[in-house]
Amino acid sequence: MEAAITILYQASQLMLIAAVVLILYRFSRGTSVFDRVVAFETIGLAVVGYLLLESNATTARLYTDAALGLALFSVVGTIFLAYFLGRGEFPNE
Amino acid sequence: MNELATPLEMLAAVLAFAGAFFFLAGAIGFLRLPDFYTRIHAPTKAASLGIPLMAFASMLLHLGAGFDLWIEDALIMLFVFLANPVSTQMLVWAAVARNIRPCAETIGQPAGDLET
Repeated sequence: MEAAITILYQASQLMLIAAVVLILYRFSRGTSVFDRVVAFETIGLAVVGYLLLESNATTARLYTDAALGLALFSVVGTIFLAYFLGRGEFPNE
Repeated sequence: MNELATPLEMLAAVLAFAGAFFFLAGAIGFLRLPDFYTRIHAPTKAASLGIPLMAFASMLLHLGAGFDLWIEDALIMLFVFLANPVSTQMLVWAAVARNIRPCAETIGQPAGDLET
């Protein structure tokens, strides 16, 4: 593994962490429950990306299983949250 | 440890970096745009492009090393690319049904034939 590739992976992981920090700020501000749902889904997908990058950088193979499961739960959970929100289930804030 | 990287590894690293860059751009858009309908498009489009790019990079590495694990990366790619736009569309329909207000610049603009 060349040094340039290691630096590239570390820069990618730092960018994902910065994205999660920005999304957490929007999660705390909100202004509607829909923003919080989108923030929840996007944080889940950012963790999926972080696990994939970690598995690429260290050639540890178990991370891919965790990434697949987390992607599945994140997106399907958001679909069900959208279904219940459309039926008027939670308050608007 | 000091061996030269193969072109496959370089390509995978560049693809993963591109995916992380799209993700960061989507997060900045999610932070700065004015209302929900403009705000939802940034992170969801960036995620449904960035996660498949990173999974494709991982798939290239696993194919190059001869692991069967590339099937799981292909599943992540396919699943996020198909299901993330569906969840976005359902969220926007629910927001229209519950009268989330758009910002002042987009009030009165046509929204297409959106039926909820």
